[in-house]
Amino acid sequence: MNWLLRALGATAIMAFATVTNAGEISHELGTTTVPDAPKRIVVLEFSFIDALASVGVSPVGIADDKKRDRIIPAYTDIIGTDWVSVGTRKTPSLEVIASLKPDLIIADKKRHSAAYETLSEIAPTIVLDSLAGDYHASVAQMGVIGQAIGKSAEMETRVAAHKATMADYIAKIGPKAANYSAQFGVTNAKGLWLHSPISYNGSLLKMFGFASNMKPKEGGVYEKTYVPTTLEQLSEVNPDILIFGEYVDPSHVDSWANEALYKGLAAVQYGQVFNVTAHNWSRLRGMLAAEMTAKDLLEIMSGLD
Amino acid sequence: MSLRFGITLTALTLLCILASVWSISAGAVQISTAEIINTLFNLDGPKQEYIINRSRLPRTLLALVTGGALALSGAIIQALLRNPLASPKIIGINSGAALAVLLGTLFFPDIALRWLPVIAAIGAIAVAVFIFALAELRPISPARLALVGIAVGFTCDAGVDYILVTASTYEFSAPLVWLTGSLWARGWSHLNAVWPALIALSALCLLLSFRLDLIRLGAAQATGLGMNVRLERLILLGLATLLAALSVSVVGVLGFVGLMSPHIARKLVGGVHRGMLPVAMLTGMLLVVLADATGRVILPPIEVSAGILTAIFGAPFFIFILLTSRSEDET
Repeated sequence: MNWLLRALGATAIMAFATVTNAGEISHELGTTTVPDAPKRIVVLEFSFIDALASVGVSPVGIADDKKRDRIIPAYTDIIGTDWVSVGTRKTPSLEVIASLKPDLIIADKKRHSAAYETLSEIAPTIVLDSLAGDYHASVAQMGVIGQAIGKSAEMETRVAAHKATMADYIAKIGPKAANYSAQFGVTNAKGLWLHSPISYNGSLLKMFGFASNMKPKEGGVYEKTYVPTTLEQLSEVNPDILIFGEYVDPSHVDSWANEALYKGLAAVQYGQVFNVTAHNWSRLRGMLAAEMTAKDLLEIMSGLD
Repeated sequence: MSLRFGITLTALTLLCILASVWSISAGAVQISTAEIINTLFNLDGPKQEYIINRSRLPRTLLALVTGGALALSGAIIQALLRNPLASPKIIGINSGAALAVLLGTLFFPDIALRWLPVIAAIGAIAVAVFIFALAELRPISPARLALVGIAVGFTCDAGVDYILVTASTYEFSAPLVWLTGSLWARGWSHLNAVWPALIALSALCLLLSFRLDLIRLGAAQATGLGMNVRLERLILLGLATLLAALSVSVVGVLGFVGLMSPHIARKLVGGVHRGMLPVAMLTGMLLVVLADATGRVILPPIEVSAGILTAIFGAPFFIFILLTSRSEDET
């Protein structure tokens, strides 16, 4: 009995959020009482759109960085295009949020903790770790959001379907993936950031069975989620498969094309360098996003032995 | 204390009031004048309680008190170090605060962001105390004290750069917003935490401004007039440090205000501190209120940091003033 309780407790802590009673949502920064079925929801990270779209709920406000096309058609097909832009994810405009008279705000731990009190003055606010959380945490957050918006049952169904879809992909990709190490990174004009095994994409690659050559510190702890990486450091990691998301073209990685060190990378030698849509892989995070990533991976792996 | 001073002071006060009114009425959301008045004076009719009373009003007031404090701090430090390039930055305050915040987030990644201001104030004061202690240990000339301050500041900046280069930019996004100097998400709690101290310290500085004029005569003459120059210098430096540290702790590194405002004030009313200090304070208030309000309306709903705007708009004006200054006695 005792071990069972402990296991249950551990599960609760891992999910980092459980419902104590209806309307009471516990999250990264405490417990918030939310209305039964919030109608006017403002989301401040893209993964929260993924959650709302999963159960067919449209937010009234999105921190879309004032670039409406950052909300991809896969989402707008479900949530429509009637949302109001509330500014950047980094510093969303609090007065625009207030003007929407929301009844629920979903904020990110890394980005918006400093504004939690202010956001809470505007509307009930829950804070989840989207930016620095891994894939499994993002799926756990789906449950929290489902409860917060009063659609627990629908969300559970969607999460179950998602897990089945992913299991299908794992079955197809896994056997081949076991023979390779793979690494994802995003690159802009200034540099390359590798997504470590504790990041969202890193944990996804791990789930599909890829090895990671990124070395943890002593004790097996990875220090950072996103690691700025030079060409020398990349050649140390030297994965079999390199997957780049380019935010600009030509990117910083493109400038390495003629470097001997770059040409010597295992992935370059074997022609196993792939480009994917940086926005979909790196910024979105969520169930639909993970399924798109899995589809890309399946395509990549179908070309390999 | 001339007609020119009176006119300047009145004009700046009026400009500050106008800028504050604009700051309260302008933002990403359009609100009618009637609604603004209803909300501010709690009249009947449609209101915008959150946007006006809990967002724009405290932000505007915070911009006023911190802008004034940073300008006063800069003016005092320039006078004491007899260096026109001096600002709170020169005694390491900004760099100390920035380094402390980054170290805090590095070693305690889960620290609540509301503790950042406290950490910033501790870092700023620690660095300033270190520099003062050096100056006390072996009395040195103001010019050398400035150099020591610059050296310590550079060391802290190197630490900041090291952390920013080795750590991921993504994970430091929240401290980075703070580092550029911004009033985003500031409200009554931030204002209440600093306004009593800032107003009291500012008033004290204005009262002591005539001592700065005595010190400016030179240590020998001031001592001859019966002043304990060392003690008074220390008190004034302490006041300047506290003003800047408290401001930096709530609005971040709005570095340029402290350097620029005293020069603008000198151009307007000359270098006598009794007159220059209040003018510098009003200039700083005006600059920060304008920068914050502009940052909110320039690309709504995107918020542009006040720190970026004070540099963009202030710097050309600052250069113009320096180029059109007639003589050395104004610096």
